[in-house]
Amino acid sequence: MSGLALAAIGAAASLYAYANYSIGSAVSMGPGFFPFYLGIILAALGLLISTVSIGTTVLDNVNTSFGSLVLIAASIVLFGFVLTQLGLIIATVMSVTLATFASQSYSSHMSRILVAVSLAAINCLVFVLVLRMNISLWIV
Amino acid sequence: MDSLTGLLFGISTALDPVVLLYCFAGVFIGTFIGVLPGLGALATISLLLPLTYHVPPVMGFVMLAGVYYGAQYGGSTASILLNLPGTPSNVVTCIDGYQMTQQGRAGPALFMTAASSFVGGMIGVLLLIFFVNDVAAIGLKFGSAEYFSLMCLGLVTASTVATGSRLKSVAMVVVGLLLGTVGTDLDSGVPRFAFGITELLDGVSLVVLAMGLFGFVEVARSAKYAMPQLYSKITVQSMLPTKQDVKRSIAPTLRGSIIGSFFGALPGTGPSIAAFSAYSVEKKFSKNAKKLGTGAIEGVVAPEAANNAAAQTAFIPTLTLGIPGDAIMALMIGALMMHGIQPGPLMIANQPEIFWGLIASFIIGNVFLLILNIPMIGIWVGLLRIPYHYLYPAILTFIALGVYSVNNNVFDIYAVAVIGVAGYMLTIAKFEFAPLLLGFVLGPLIEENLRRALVLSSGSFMTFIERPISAGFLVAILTIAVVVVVKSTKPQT
Repeated sequence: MSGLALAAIGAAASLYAYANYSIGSAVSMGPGFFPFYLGIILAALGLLISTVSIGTTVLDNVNTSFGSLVLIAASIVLFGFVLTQLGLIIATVMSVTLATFASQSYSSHMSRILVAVSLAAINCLVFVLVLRMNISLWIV
Repeated sequence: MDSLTGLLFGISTALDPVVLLYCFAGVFIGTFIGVLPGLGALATISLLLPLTYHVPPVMGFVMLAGVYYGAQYGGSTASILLNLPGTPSNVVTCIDGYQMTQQGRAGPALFMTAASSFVGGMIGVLLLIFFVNDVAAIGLKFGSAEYFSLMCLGLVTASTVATGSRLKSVAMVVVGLLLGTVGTDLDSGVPRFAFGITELLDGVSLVVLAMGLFGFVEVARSAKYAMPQLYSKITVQSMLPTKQDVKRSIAPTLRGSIIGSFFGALPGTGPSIAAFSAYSVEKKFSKNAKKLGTGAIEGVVAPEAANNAAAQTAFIPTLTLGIPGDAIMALMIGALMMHGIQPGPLMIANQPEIFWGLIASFIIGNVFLLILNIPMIGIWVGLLRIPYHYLYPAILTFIALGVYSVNNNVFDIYAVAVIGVAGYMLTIAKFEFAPLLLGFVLGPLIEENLRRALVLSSGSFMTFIERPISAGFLVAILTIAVVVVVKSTKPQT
């Protein structure tokens, strides 16, 4: 599966480079030369990986949790979105609160909020006061 | 400038109070994140990269380097106390280190680890000082063909000595190389794989890539799980080793330092491989070989001396040839280049204060680390009591703010999420990222040298074989490839 996906990426990159950039020749390489051949190599490797791994499941299920992946991804995107709209403090509180749901170690909503608020304070202190980053703290 | 004058000059740079402060900050942060399992030097250095834009390069690099070798010290603490390696290069330390903890000898294990790390680190620095000029002199003779072949050799060794599937690592190198082509082609000015996105015209940002793959993925993978509890208490009195501990440690520490220095200096291998090799050498040649695995001090000091020595000698190819030995060195090179400094044989002549200042700071940093890791060990042990579920949301916001600070552009935060999710899928399928990052940093350099070499040879690929040094590197690549294929086709007995 993963091998086939890589092969597809390699083939796509190669085709895209072929269609859009001039390949040139060895003596005067065009912008497409390097990506074109890399794509072919990747496609070949991908196919090789998928043939070698036929019939074997190598998926690492022990540490896999799509739930926390989605939560973590959502909270970082939320952070970026809110940061420009409502400032650092609200962004930190919102995204940290969301991120805490990825863990099962929080016993109450109160502890989630507490962590979120204290991290907002730490972020303000570290990034704005100490490192003097140019971010708005509060609703602009 | 010969090594001694260079070093003296460097010491005068490194003793500047502000540089000293950055050096201390670096090794302190390095120990901190080394102690915490899950947050490695790679993630931390990518987190700190944006900060180095705001300070002069010397201070930035003294700090980043401090994080790197400081993490080697700190990483052993969790290995010994919790059986959880703080960083990948401390994996073997778990075997005998945790056994010693269970036998109630955690104190001496921690003490001897710090001492052997110091010896290993210092031997590594001395070799580094001794060899940089010679290696740089060789590097000056290199043309594009040699650089191309040497970089290929680095990529091949990096992917074949990886812990997981070699085929997958090679594929990751190629993915890295392809990612490196994104952005405006320097030669023709054509934007490649930008798909009309303005932010991609400058290429994929190294900081975003590193944070996505190493920071985000780590948080997403470990958020759900609680860390094991730590019960033992460590005091300085309980750390004092017996005379026998010291006596048994001397030879393994020296052996480990030599092995580590060797593997550190090779392009493509780094501290992890050094530690593994040092442990297997002890298993064969140590006087107490039979006790290894049951809590023998030799099994703790040898790999720890090795990974610290390797962390120092890794700077030889990085600084003198501009070729990174592992993913962290690739990050360092990326950081240097962002400051407009081209690591390579000319760096010694052009930026002596950065070059020698950095090297001199290693000596000072190692002394700091000795102090941090013996009298102040209690702080670090206490750190292991902080529950991870308080830490990961903090790491997450640090990642977001860190990437945002580079360009003040929210696009970079979203890019981290995209790369992170893709990276998560790759870890599930057991792909590793270190080869990818190495390929990414070396990609543009490889392409440029390939192009130049071929222009000079009027398009003949024979140039790589006709030039003796380049041919030598290619022979090395071929040998490795043959060994790997033979090994993997041989039936397992």
